Amino acid sequence: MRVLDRNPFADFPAKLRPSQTNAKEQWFQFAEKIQGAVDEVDGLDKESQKLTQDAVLGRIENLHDVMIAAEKARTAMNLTLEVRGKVIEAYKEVMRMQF
Amino acid sequence: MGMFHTIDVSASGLTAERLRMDVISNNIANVNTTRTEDGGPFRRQLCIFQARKPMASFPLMERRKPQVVGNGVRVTTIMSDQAPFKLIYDPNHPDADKDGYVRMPNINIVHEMVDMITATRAYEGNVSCINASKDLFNSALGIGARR
Repeated sequence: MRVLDRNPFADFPAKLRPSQTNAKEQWFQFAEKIQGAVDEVDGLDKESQKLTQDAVLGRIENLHDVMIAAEKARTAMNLTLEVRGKVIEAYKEVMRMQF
Repeated sequence: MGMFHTIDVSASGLTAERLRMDVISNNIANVNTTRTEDGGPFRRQLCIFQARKPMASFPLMERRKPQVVGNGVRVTTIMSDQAPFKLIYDPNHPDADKDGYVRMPNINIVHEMVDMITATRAYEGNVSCINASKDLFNSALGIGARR
């Protein structure tokens, strides 16, 4: 079955193509991406906290905005935990290697 | 089009329906109001919904097709219904004219109740949509999970 009729990564700028960078650069790119993702999750959580505080203080207009912000923060956090679990699993797998 | 686009679209629907609910409640509250600041009885108000302009779309798809997903709904204006007022014969009313007729608001309470039910159901529909997309996220997170 043909899923993709062309390589979706073919048009990517050269600096994003992993094969043309060395291991150290790749590691830094990876760390940067993780940091960005964590910051984004943190931002969603902060927004949710602020809206919850506003709700408690009676300063909100729409109750659903509070619930949606909380739900977004929770989903983003679940995604982060899932990714962390996978990274740690891979790390453990490497550590278990015997020579 | 981010990860939470569906939720943002549904949230705009929730906000719009809630505003419509406010307007309907105001109409029901003023069903017997014969005096307003502008003079004359209260006029029924109604919300005008408009589709929000679609924003940036998924870049790989955009090159192939210019079609983009919309960005939800918003209430552009709250207009007043220009239907004629109801005339009710009540000579003792202070706002009655010389023939004894009082001009009452052009609000049909049954109509407003039906609108209220549609607003409630539309709100519930948007909530279901949010829950469905949340379920999608959660089942996507379950990909590859060890049982």
